[in-house]
Amino acid sequence: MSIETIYEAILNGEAKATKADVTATLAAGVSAVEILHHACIPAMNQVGHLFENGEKFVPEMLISAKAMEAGMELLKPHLVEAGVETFGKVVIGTVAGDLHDIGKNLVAMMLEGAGFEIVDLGIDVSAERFITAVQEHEPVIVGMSALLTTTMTAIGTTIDALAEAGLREKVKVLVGGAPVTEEFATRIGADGTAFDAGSVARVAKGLIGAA
Amino acid sequence: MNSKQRVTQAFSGAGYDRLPMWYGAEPGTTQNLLNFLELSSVEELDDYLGVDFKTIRPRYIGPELKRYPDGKFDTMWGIRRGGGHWGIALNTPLAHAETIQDVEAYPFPRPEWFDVDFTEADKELSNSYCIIGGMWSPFWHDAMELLGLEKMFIALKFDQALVEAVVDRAFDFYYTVSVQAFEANPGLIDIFWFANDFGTKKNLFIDPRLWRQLFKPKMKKLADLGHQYGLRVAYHSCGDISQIIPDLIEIGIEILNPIQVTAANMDPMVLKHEYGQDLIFFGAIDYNEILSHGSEERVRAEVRRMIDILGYDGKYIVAPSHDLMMPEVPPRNIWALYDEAKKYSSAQVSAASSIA
Repeated sequence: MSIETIYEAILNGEAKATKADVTATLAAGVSAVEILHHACIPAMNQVGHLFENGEKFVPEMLISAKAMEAGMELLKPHLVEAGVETFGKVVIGTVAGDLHDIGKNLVAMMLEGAGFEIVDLGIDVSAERFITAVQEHEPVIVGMSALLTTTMTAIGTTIDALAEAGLREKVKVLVGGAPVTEEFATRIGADGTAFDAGSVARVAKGLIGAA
Repeated sequence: MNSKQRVTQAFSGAGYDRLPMWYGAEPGTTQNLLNFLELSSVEELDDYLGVDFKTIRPRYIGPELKRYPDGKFDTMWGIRRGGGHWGIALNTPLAHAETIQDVEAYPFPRPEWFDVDFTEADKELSNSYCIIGGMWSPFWHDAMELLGLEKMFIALKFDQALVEAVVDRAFDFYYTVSVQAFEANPGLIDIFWFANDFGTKKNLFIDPRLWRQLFKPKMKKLADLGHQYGLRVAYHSCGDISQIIPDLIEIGIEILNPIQVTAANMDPMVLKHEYGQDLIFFGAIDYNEILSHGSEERVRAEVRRMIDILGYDGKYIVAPSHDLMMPEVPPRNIWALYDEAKKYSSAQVSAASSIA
């Protein structure tokens, strides 16, 4: 039960082992911050890296994310108590008219694993709801997902709405989904796009200027 | 030369007048195209475009499946779908299944819910068109939707027996109905075309080793079934399936669809070079960018390019790189695809035979 075993458990997608190891490691006096920064985040980093390399696949990425989530549940109270700050909040959702969420959920998990705090608005999220969430949570990043060529236009609409509400400059807009391309992202005024959940953490950190 | 002969000859590499062509789209897309071309029926459209295939699959005659005012609808799997077009599954019937008994207790679709017999009209079509039949068989997707993605993925790693139980029941259903279809209509079906998407834009969805263990044997059973009844076997998977193409050839797949050229590792030139001896390619006219957003001239240029790359030996069925065109595709571009393919392919064949 140590940083190393927690890292391995997350890497292997073993939620039960992760929980057991985190519990034991905390009990042994290792700080939650240390576990977060030396086990959880590096493990999810490696998962993303292996996915990008084609050595891990979507199921492995998801079960690792679930294992990390399980560990984070136990760490969160300690992190809050210690006043540990995340990289900031990410308000994420699938845009209006679109019900697809698998990719968005994976991205949310990977961003959380990288040290962001996630506010997940779910699916079929109107521009108004995005705006309300941005006003309430003051995120560093707004993430928008669309799977259909018909609904991806709502990404552009939402970005425009953010601008009209005077919020555009306060956030970085990250967009994604199967039909989204770099060209589309640039055209509609997003700040960036990641090809998939495996690379999103790297792109997100790049957007906010974190390592 | 009728369509049936055209397809046979093209696949043999000689004696054909142009490459075969296939059309598949959402009803809304077809309506747009009918309006654009000022035609009034799918039959008229097929003839006008020069489509060489008719798809005659077993017909559902089971319990009524509800359609709702908000566009949602129920399926024979006990799933409600919504969210546009074929939509997504809105419920997860086996989300709480823990044991094989839980799976066995679930009301899977029944073979008797399908009428497999060809009508007289079907038999008539079979005289002149190349007939695609059997069940589409997307048992991987059905299993995923019944269990839910998260549960499926966790089970793939930690409880494979549960996954296999669901996949087996879904597979057995499709297999049984397909057998019945081939038994009932001897000599009337030419191609058994079935599907399961295992590719994403880059790489497979699941580890190929897992695919070989859990899904390859089932795909082989389907391929063997087709061959047992003298049919050619066609397989559909979107995305980057480059890693398993050798496996597909090994299990007897002869025709590969839709060749999503914008996915990684699916460069048609590379595929033709590596697998042209073993596969007939079916699709490849880029749907994501060119058909959806390109100019008419760009579509036509791409059709010519693809015919040169994939069709020089006859072993290519011209079609989009996605098997179901959505209504967003400009009808002008769809028309341009088939018009150019017909003109260019005919010209190429004539030129080749005049040299010979």
